[in-house]
Amino acid sequence: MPLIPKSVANRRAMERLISVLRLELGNEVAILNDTGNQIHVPNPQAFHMLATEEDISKILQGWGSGCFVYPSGPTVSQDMRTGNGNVRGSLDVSSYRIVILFKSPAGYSDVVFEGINLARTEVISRMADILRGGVIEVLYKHSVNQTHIHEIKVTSDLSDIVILNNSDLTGRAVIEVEILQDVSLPMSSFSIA
Amino acid sequence: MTALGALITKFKKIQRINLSECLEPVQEVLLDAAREAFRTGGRSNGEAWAGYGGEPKYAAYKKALGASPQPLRWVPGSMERLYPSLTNPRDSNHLWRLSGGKATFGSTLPYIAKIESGGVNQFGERFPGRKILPINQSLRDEVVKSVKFNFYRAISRTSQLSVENK
Repeated sequence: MPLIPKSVANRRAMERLISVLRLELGNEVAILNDTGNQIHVPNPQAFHMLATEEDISKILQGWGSGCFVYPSGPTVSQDMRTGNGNVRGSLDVSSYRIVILFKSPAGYSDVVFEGINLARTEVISRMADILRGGVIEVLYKHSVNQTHIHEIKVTSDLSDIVILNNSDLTGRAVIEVEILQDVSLPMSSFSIA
Repeated sequence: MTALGALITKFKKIQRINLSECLEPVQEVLLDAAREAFRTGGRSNGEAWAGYGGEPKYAAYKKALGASPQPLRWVPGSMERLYPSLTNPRDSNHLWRLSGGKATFGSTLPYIAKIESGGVNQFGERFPGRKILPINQSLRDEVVKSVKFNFYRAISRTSQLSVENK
């Protein structure tokens, strides 16, 4: 199964994702990188560290909360599971409404997200597919003040992957419109969980 | 089983997005752009097409045939091929090809490239290039907007995860 972005090689993807998230969600997003540190964003105050397993459970049970999780390494998963290290935070999840979950290769997600593991697997696979098309975002969304997760939504700003050219290979006067299949994200940076 | 595990009752498998499908509506965007280019004599593309001041023989030729004095137009509805090939999707000379994530729009008429680049007409007069299909920011924005809309629609159609609370 193709996997999620993991490192600096995917910073562009993350930056684009963040920009879109900020645009769409304002400050209602929390972001972690694969070492458990908060991803650098222009306005760090807008983002928060993800808190404990309990918090995640609350989120997934629809406390009108949301967070963005980017745990692609075992370290962060262990930290999240034990509540130690950088991952532990004092996030007030009640102020979030969007959840974005990337698969962790460690057992954390299987424990906490047991019920939606299949769904998450599909989302991650889907995300990797979309990444190849240059589209980055996977939103895992649940409704505010309701008790169920109701939607997975994928959005993106496509402006940098839709390419227009003015002539084809034969030199004819045409307009070619192309959705890039392979943006500059190196697929070698994707790994298998 | 977690509390959430009990919530999931339905899951529609996420499918791949058909990029050609996302590009289909772009044809109408480009048709509109071409129509506007003809309607404004190229001004909608940022630069008005040159008149026939430097091509008196060609201008006289068109006039003798009862053609439109407007550059690149002939007799609307009958004696012309260029205009319908770029503005009518059903015209036999219209070019619209979809292949995967790529679309090609234009005319199959062989002389359109010469019209855009400029050259020498059948009377030996030099004529300037008259751009019919330039890509400017406005057009780019319209195309992206169209693709984006259809991409979102395709996503929303294929990536629904339904989870209900028992």
